[in-house]
This record gives sequence, structure tokens and C-alpha cells, in this order.
Amino acid sequence: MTDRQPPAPLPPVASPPGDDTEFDLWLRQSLSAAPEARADPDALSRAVLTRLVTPAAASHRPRLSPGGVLAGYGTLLSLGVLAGYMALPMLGISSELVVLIGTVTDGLGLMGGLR
Amino acid sequence: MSDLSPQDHARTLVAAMAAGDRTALSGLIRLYGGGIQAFAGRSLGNVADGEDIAQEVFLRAWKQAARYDPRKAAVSTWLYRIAVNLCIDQRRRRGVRLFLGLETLEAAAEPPDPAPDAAQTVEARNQLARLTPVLEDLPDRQRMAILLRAVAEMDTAEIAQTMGTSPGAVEQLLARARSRLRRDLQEGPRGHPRADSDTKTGSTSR
Repeated sequence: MTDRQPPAPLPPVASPPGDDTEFDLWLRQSLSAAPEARADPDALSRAVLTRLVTPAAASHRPRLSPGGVLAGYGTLLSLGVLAGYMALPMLGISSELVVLIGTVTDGLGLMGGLR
Repeated sequence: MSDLSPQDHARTLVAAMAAGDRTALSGLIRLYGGGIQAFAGRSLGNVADGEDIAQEVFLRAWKQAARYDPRKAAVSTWLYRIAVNLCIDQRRRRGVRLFLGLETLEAAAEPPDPAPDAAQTVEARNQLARLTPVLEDLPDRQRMAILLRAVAEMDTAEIAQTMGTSPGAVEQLLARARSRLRRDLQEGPRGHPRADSDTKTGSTSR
């Protein structure tokens, strides 16, 4: 029965040493002592080679979902419409006409949406 | 082949990579993959992110192998420079995501390893658990410098070349990092602003 753990052979130093060289060594040991800190170059090599032969996976950038693309185009369209409304008075069109154009286009949009 | 120094061997591998030899890429990963993955993992405070960055480093090395100039930098310096830049970019992106609420600090933190180990592992993890937030609290350039020294085992000149600064500036970064780590390990991180207070050191020293 092995219900007792073996004693730790080289436990990490509890507090950092004052000497710079010893401090760097202490830091190195502390950072590499935990098992999850140890890298596996063979696994890394396999992962890199897999990404090399699968170009679609090689891109690390997140891809937009169709909903995200639609939302992006919708935002651009809204901004364009807003800029258009703001530009109308600068073209000498009266504010009443701007309201009328807005009402008509809104109405057309509503009708299009309901169909 | 056996009488080649590691640096000569690495240069040979990069030349072979430029010619399209994938086994040379595997050879380069065996030489530097472990160190770069450990460096990136510690730099980002997350082992999984370190793996992603290490993969990206070697993919970029593969793509840029033909442009590598051995007269400008050693292969290790070249690879670690790519890693440093990717880590800085990744931290910036994470900062934006945290700001926008797309990521939580808990999600960005190191996930616990499910495999329990011997007693010394518990002690090592405790030590690492104390160190990680303190390292995270360091300004970017101080953290990079101290990790290149401690994890990548670089000397001052190599760190300077990797970070694109002068050896004097690196010495300052290292001294500040050690001083702050010693203080914060005793008192706990103080949550200083992330903005690099030492950016000037790096930029004006060239």
C-alpha cells in the first residue's frame, strides 16, 4: 500500500533570494517546477505540421458568423442612410421635405418588411 | 552533422525550411519549441495560450524562412522576437476583450491541471500560484525581459537584440522587474496601471 507520498526531494525556495543571479535561478526553477509548465516539443511539432497541411485551420483569426456579417452590413447601411439625411439640408432641401422623404422611405421599408 | 553547434544546426534547419523541408521545421521545433512555449505560457499566464503562440511562431518561421538573415540575428533571437511580438499583441487583444466584457479574468486565468501529482507538485503549484499574478502585474517590457532571462536563459545582449533595445535598457528593465517582484511577492501585487511606465526606457535608449 502506498498511502503516503514520498518526501519532496527539492522543494522550491519559499522566498526570493536577494542576489540577482540567484534570483533569476530561483525564478527559473519556480516557473518550471509545475508539470503543466513543461512543454512537449513533439506534440507542438505535430500541431504545427497539421496546421501547415490544413490551410483553413492555419488562419488564427476568428471568423465572423453569418449573423455578424449581416449586423456589420446593417450598421454600415444605417450609417449611410443617416449621413444621407444629414446631407439633405446642406443641399438646400428644406427640413419639411427631409421629414417627408424620411416618412416615405420608412413607409416603403415597413411595407417591404411586412411582405 | 554532430559537430555542428546548436546555432549552426539551427541555421542549417532554417535554410532547409526555406527550401520547403518540413522535417527541418520539426527539427527546429525540437530545438526551440519547448522554450518558446514555456516563455509564451508564462508571459500570458496561461499554458493553452502559450501553446497557440508557440504554434504561430513556428508557422511564421516557416513562412518567413527564406527572409531570415543569419547576419542580423541568431535563429533563437529571431524566433523569440516573433514570440515577444505575438505575446504583446495577444495581451492587447485580451485587454480589449476584458474591457468590452467579452472575456472574464477567470477565463483568462490559468485553468487548474486535473492530474494530481506528488507532494512536491503541490508545493510547486503553490509557488507558481503566488508568482503568476505578480508577474502579470509587471509592465509588459519588464515581464518580457525577466522571462527571457529566467525561462529562455538569455544573456543581456541576447535579450536586448530580441526586444530591439540596448543592453543598458535591458539591465534597467531587469533591475526594476526583480525589485518589483521581490516587493510584490512579500506584499502582494498592488495593481499598478498597465500602461508601461518603462516604455520610455526602451524607446529612448536606442
